[in-house]
Amino acid sequence: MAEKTNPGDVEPIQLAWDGDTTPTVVELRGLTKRFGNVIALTDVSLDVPQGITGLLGPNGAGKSTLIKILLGLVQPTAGTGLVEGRDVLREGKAIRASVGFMPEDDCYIPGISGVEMVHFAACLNGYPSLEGLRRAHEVLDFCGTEEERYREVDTYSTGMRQKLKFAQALVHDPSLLILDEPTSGLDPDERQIMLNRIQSLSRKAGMSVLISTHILPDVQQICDHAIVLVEGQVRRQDSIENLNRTSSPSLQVRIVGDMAAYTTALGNAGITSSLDGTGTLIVEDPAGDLAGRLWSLAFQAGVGIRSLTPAMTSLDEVFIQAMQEGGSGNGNA
Amino acid sequence: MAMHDLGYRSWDAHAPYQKYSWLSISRYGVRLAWKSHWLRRIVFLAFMPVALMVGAVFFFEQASNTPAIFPAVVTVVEFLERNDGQSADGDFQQPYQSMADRAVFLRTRDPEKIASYLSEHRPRVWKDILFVFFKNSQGLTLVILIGMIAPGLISRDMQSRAFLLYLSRPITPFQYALGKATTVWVFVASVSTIPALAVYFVGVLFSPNLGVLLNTWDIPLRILLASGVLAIPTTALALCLSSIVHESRYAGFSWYAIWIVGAVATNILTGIAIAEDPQNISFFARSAWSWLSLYHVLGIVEQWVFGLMAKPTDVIPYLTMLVVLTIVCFSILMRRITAPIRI
Repeated sequence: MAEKTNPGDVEPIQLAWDGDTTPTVVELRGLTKRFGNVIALTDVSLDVPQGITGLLGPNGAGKSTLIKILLGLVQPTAGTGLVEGRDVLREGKAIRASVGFMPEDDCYIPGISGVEMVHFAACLNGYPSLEGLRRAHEVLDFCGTEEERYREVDTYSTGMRQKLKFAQALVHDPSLLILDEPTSGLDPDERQIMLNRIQSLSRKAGMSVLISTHILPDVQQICDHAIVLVEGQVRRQDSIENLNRTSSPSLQVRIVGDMAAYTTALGNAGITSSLDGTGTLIVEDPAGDLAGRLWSLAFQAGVGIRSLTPAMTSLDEVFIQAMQEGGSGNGNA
Repeated sequence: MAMHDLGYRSWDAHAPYQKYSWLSISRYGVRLAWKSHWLRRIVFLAFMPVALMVGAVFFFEQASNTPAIFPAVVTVVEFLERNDGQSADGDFQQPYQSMADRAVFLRTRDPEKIASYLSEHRPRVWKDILFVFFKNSQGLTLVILIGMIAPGLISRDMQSRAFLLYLSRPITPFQYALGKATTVWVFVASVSTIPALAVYFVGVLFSPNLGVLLNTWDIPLRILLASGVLAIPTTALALCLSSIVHESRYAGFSWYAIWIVGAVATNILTGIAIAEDPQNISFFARSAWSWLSLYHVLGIVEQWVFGLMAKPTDVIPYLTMLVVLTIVCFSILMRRITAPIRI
């Protein structure tokens, strides 16, 4: 077992979001967690900035273990970490008092109503019963739980339970919200509403949100940053904008007319291009000054340009690439 | 979205009860358990013996006002002292030497003699009454009551995976276990400690003067200790069983099986021993096989708590058994509670 380092010794490792001055809410350095012979996390160093951050990873990547460490429920084998400036090794209770957590599992207490469950969560945080009840109704209103709040949770549908879990995570007005698969089991409309709610919490209430999910479009839609965790290692961590950038600057060109004539014209001009499966031409633009030439070459080839945009890598591709890579330290993109 | 929806609103409320948030677990636990009609009936029935105990104390104290019942009181006291083993050590000297003296004594109408006799025997009689209350009526009731409450307390949380709901809050696994245990203790206290204290205070009110407080000051403390003896090992065992399985019915079945099998085995083996030696029978008989039955072990320790054991050192093996049982059950319980976090 590796030695536990002094919790105060957080080394100033330069991580992702280079040049991004957003304050961080979570800082982990060299975090390793072993369960017997199984290594769940290996030398994980990451920063979660304010805003909405997606935590991506396949099953068994170590996301749940990482969340439990962030909540101070599991002690790391080695490494240190701070959540909102509090040490994960020593200040678990204080962290849990200020962090809201929505578990992935279908957690509920049988026999009590929805509003009682949220009220109970408030009482567990040490709030007076009456205040907790008032607040429970308030967050249930926010979560769109109407009269069904008075029904026993055993009778709730999956979607309603998701809303209830979301409400109980919010009841104490946390400054950091950790959501584990918040949109699973929701129909498309409810999913969109849930994403809007999460976004409004971050944008309007200034809450930081860490979302652990498999649903990449959710991350693409609402997250400012993403962390890709694979086999207990951080393979990528960067802003969504940076992750979506291609490895070399390129342009996506869609034309009206003879594609072969246009590619020949590009080749003759010494410009490297390739056609993707959707009929879009990807043109490499290392210097970032090709746009004007593409228009004139199109004119010469007798074709029209329908669209000309910077090429982007989809998050799915980033995720698949990260999965296929071997371990690469802190995974700064 | 509701017309009155105001969106998300921040909340800067102070959380003053964070140290005691585990009490919320007990409060909700009690509220949930109380929803059971059967539990309410059992709790109601559990109060029935209290009337008998109050009646017994009233009967004893009334002897000073109604000398006609004094002979009956003396007979009961003699029965208790003959059967609980302590009279063998001669702790209490009877105010007569022979059967003839006894007959004369029983006919006495002298208020001073009666008051003196009652005063001398009051602590012992009250302790006997409370011991019978704890061992026989409430002991049995609590087996049923705890068997109805405790098996679901943790197993249901395991089944519905509510652990993270609790433990993602500022409470520790120990506080979680304490909250669950307190749920059981609330019921234990409501059907044993509180009625026993009530019997004691009713006895004080029935007695001729408040001077009895000097004679019996230790009884409330013994009641609290007896409640602890009754509640702590049984709760640890019940919660341990509840944490081992995901289905509360299996925990409940195991709970009742432990009590019934133990008691039946002890009674059969004790019966055989008595058949071989018929002289060895007494009201507070302690068999060599008592250790097989948790019910009997608790009874023996309760006997010691109420100071009714002839040789107090006899309690050591039984007390050790309860302590070991509590420690083992509590260790298993804590391990089971933290398992879902670790995995």
